Amino acid sequence: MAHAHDHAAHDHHDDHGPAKGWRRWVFATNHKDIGTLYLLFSLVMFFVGGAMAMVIRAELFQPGMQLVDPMFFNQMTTMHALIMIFGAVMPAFVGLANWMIPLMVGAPDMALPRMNNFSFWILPFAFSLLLGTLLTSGGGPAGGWTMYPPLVQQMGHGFPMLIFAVHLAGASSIMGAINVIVTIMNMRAPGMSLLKMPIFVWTWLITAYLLIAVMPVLAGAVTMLLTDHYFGTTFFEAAGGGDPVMFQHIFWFFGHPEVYIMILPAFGIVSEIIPTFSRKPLFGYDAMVYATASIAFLSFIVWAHHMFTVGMPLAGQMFFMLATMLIAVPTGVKVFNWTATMFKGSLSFEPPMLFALSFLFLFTLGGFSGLMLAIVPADFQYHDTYFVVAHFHYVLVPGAVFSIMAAAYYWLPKWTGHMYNMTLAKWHFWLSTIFVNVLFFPQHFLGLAGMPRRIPDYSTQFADWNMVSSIGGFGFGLSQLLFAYLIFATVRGGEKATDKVWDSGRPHGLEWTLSSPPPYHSFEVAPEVK
Amino acid sequence: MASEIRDQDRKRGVQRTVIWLLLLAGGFYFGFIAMAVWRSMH
Repeated sequence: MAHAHDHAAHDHHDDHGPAKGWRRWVFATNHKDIGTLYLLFSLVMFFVGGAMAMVIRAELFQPGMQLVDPMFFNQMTTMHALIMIFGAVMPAFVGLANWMIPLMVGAPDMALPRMNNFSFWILPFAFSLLLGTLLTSGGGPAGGWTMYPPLVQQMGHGFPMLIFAVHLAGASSIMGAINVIVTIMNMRAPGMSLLKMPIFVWTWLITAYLLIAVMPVLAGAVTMLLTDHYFGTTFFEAAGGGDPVMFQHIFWFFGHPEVYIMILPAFGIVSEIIPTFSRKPLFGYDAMVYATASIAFLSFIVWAHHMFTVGMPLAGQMFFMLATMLIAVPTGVKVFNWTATMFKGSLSFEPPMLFALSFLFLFTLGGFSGLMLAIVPADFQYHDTYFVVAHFHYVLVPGAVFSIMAAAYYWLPKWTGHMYNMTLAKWHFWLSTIFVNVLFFPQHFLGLAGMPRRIPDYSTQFADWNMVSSIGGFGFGLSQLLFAYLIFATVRGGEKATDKVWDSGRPHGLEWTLSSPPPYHSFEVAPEVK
Repeated sequence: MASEIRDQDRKRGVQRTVIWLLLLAGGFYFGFIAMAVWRSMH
């Protein structure tokens, strides 16, 4: 990790501060302001998508149809996924990148600040369009977030709104990714070689390349859906000589790396937090970087494991099964390195560390169920059951979402200059960790017993575990109100945070050389990294 | 407001990286559509 001498972070900047009132946010080009906008947007979307999850769990609380009609239930499952993936998790990571990458590499701002503003402000329009589909005749998308044809073509008047919303969200992500790569490759402080960069910066650099490679593929796929719908092409329509399975291949060529787009920055966050609260440097820094790159490479050659039941040659099944299992190797390197970092460390358990540890255990559990799903004959049994739902929620909730919460608790005092209420934050941690397991663990049992996913009603044999899962869901949802309260309370005031915040004694990166909160314009004179 | 990049070398580096990344993104977008068109015709 780099040691730094920040020559003039506090007093050598242009004398203009933030603009006053709404102009500060609408015309924002400062990376800290845009980071804040992304994080707030993501929090709002987290609650919107969460409300949809509450509708789903309320309907599934008991067998039989209770609250909503099946069509609306299907719209809720589809919209919940689209909003959580594109509106909550991805913007949260982009927000963290905006806040932290310039501070970590000693840059005065992101390389392309005006494009940064544009890529954020696209998002509210994209998600207004997406949510607006619920008000059109025929309602919102109901065929699953994968938008498989021909089912998706049966959507009502909201179809072009869905396609445009996906395009806009994709364009925003691509612009965000370009900004991240350009900043890291061109704006690093003198002396900060690639292998001296903080691991969070490394994971985001690799994630940004993944984004640039796969978001255009999604855009291409939905463009072809649009032309099939309105312009008479038959890319995915068997009646015209097209092939609906081709959509699945193209979609999952995007979709599988997308999973890693949502988890690699999480690896970076956990790799920052565990050393701080173990009071030891990260074990195997180089191996962590190479493992991240290996996972990113492998993510491009495993897409068809989502399609084993569609049918493919035996050689294809073998290849995609073995390539998928291979991902466990670099992932295992990471898990063992985090464990080795903690080994004989002087551990303390503040909220960021608690969330990072929960991530470590529960993400690994999600990884194990992923290995089970990689086995072709087993996948034939598990496919499209609640086992899959349990698997990806373990990866995305105690995985990606917990890492975002860990990051918020880790960096919030640096951003705001205030410490939060530790007791409440620990309550938030314990409630979240207990309820997330009550919510998702029983879904493994439901899936293994044969309950299909994406259904509003089910056989009575599944009643008990569904009720338990719903209770966990309501508990998890309510616990998150505590998170929102803590964030707003910390922004408004609280005990003054020190510049280093976590007084652990081990050398930190450049971001900890700045005051808490950092000056509006930081690193206008590049710091020297030794 | 953010400040302009004043170092010309750094500015050129930024421009070069942006162009390469746009080409990469465009290549994936049009490449996959071209592949689908080709596959529809054969």
